[in-house]
Amino acid sequence: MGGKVDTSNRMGVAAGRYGGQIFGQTNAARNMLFKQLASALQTGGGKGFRMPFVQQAVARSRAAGTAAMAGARGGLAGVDASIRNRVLNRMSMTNRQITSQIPTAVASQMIQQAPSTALGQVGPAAAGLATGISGQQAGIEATVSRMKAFSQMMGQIAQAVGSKTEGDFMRSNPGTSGVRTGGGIDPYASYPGRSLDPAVINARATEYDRRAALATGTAMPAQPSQSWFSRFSNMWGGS
Amino acid sequence: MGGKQQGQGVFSKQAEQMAYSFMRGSKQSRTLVFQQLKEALGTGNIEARIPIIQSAVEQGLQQSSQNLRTAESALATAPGAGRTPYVQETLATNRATAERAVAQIPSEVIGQTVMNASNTITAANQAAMQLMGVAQQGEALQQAAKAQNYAYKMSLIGGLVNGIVGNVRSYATSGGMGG
Repeated sequence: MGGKVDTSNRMGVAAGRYGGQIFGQTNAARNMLFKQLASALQTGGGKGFRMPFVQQAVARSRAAGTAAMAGARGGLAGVDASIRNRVLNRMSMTNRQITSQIPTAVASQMIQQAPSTALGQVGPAAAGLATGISGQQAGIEATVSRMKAFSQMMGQIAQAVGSKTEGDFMRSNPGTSGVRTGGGIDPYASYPGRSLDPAVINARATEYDRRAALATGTAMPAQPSQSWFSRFSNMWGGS
Repeated sequence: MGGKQQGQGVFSKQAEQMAYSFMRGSKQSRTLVFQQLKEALGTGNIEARIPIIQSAVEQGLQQSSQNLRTAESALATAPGAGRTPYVQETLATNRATAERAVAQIPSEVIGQTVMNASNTITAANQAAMQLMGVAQQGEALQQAAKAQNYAYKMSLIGGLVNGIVGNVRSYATSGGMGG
């Protein structure tokens, strides 16, 4: 072989698959977290605070308080009613206090984390955009590279077909068959051996002098004043 | 141009294998972490999904039962002890406190999971973006390689056409096509 390079992207595809997998796995949790964080910031854990964990924690706390009170009632059976009631009341108050503090405590912790949580997403987001831009750049570079290659190929073909013969076309006889016969890189150097008839060139040079004399109102020179090559070139270039 | 194509290096291959191994090895844990996190945030109740809660509750119950027995025996043998209102109150309070502490274990564990959600998700986002960056690098290399192959084909075509035209020209110049 030669020149051809490996275009497989096995590792890139694997990395993309893993990245997409992790994003997919965290997507639902991320959406929930940000909804709940917004709720905590808006309500401060008060009325309208929507967080299932808090509702569950409050329910668990109430159940625990109720169970503890039931246990205490049993344990205090036979104890003086005033003492029993005092103990049970105190426990009941403690239970209510603990339970009521749960939403505020959770919201408070969430609010404390809110800046880092919110800003923590900026880094990955910036990295994602940078990756997107790099991809765009790579795509542009690849396209430009292809266009250059195509252009070079066309240039090679044009050079082969046209450029080398342009000088011939300008300076030598295209011929009736359309096959130019100059052929060389420097048609001047190879002129003498070519098929151009000096009489034809001389006639054209004379015609050039005649036109020039008419245009400038001067008399025609007795002898051609310029070399055949430059005259011929001028005639073709100006016609 | 010719020349043997350079394949993937030894360390590069090793790094690739290690990467696959890390991802395969952590797959189950990652899945469980994110499932639990989703459950914790979505329902606030993941007791069944976190076995450590069950074991922590069992351990807490054993410990509180032991503490209560110790307190009861200490109070029973204390001077002037017996079934006095003070002893009853103390035991009842201890029992209630212990029961409440055990009952709070699931909430505490789930609460830790919820409060760590931000860090977990941010770390996951960073990891995902890092992986996507690597994927993009691979894609860019692939695009560049394809462009390189395209350039190679174009240069072959250009060279071929150039050669053919040169041959035709040479043939014509030598008088084969008139002039």
